Amino acid sequence: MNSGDHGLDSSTLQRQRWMAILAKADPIDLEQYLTSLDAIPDYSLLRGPDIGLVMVQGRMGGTGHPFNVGEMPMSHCVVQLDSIGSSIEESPQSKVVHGFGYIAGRSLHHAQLAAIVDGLLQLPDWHRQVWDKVIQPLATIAEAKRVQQRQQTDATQVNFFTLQRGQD
Amino acid sequence: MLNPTVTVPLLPGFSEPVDSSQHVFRSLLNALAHPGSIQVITDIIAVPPPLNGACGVAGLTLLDGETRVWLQPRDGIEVVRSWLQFHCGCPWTTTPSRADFAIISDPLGLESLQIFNWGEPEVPEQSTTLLVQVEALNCCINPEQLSLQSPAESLSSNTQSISQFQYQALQLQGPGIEHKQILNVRGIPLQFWQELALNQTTYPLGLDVFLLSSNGVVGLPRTTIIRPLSSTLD
Repeated sequence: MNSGDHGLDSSTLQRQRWMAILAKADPIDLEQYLTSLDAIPDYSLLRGPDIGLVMVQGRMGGTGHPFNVGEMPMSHCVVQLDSIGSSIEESPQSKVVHGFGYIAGRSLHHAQLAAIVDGLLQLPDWHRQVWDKVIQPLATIAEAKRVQQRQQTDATQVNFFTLQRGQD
Repeated sequence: MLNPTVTVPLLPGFSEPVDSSQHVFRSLLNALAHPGSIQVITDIIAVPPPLNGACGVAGLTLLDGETRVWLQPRDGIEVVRSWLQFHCGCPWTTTPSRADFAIISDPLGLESLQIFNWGEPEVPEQSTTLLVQVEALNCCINPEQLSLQSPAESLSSNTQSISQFQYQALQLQGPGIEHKQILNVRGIPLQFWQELALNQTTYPLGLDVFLLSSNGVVGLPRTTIIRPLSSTLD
């Protein structure tokens, strides 16, 4: 998936990374870290949370043509948070940021939590704190799971000492 | 390093999108099936001005990523564009003849109906559908009864403001109407009806129109014969 950055700037890549971490996290862990923050700003629901279906596409092995693998349920949510105080603009008009949460499956709660954190991470006053207290711990948990799975998988590898293997 | 999507606040869409859009769609269908009858829309939510309630929810219901929309230019309309862009993701055009839907929030400011797509002989249905915002709709038979313009007689919730324009009484005939239907509309100039009468000669090409008030909709498919009656109101 990360074979190339497709010409995206670093802030977009960074946002993709934290959105992925939020989507793949256990919602119980996510809620725990989110509630550990100081009182977060008020937010309103701009969309949902709703459950819908997305069509997942794959690529043909031989030709690389896309084809429809099947539909999968997804939950999404968009929250609106005030950006007052963190905007350097002179305009008296109130500004907001939109936090987006997209997660696989049917958890409305998870989608809403992900949207709230995505919104907070866009507020300069909150970014550092939320990164350190929510994203980092979730990333650590995810990495630990990856390592554990890799170790378990590696342990199943069978080594043939007498036959030559193709991968070398 | 941060690149937040800082923007002006947007109003939310339907709280129950599936149910509400189906209710509204049913109202729009009934409006076209019974031209001239006023369908009351119950799923009205707060929408950004200058849109009124029925026009806003009709937009949420009908518009999506495949419906090209012409939004009548006027002061303050960009808030509406942002709102529809977020909730519907509809593509936009500045060329009315390329639009599948036209949102006309200021009928008095519309120069001509000729700017829209009236359809092609092979695809007459691909004409522009007009969503026309009106101040008030009333079905009562006797136009003189409208001189009071009280809330009980008008479906418009906008009874505080006094419109400088009176009701225009229209006589409607055609498919979906048993004999004749009288419709009273406030907020549309006479010229609009004169141009729309071209539907009678261009059929099957033509324009289909929805009249949208604060909470009601009237459907005028191109098959409806519309005759403005001389107004007795002041």
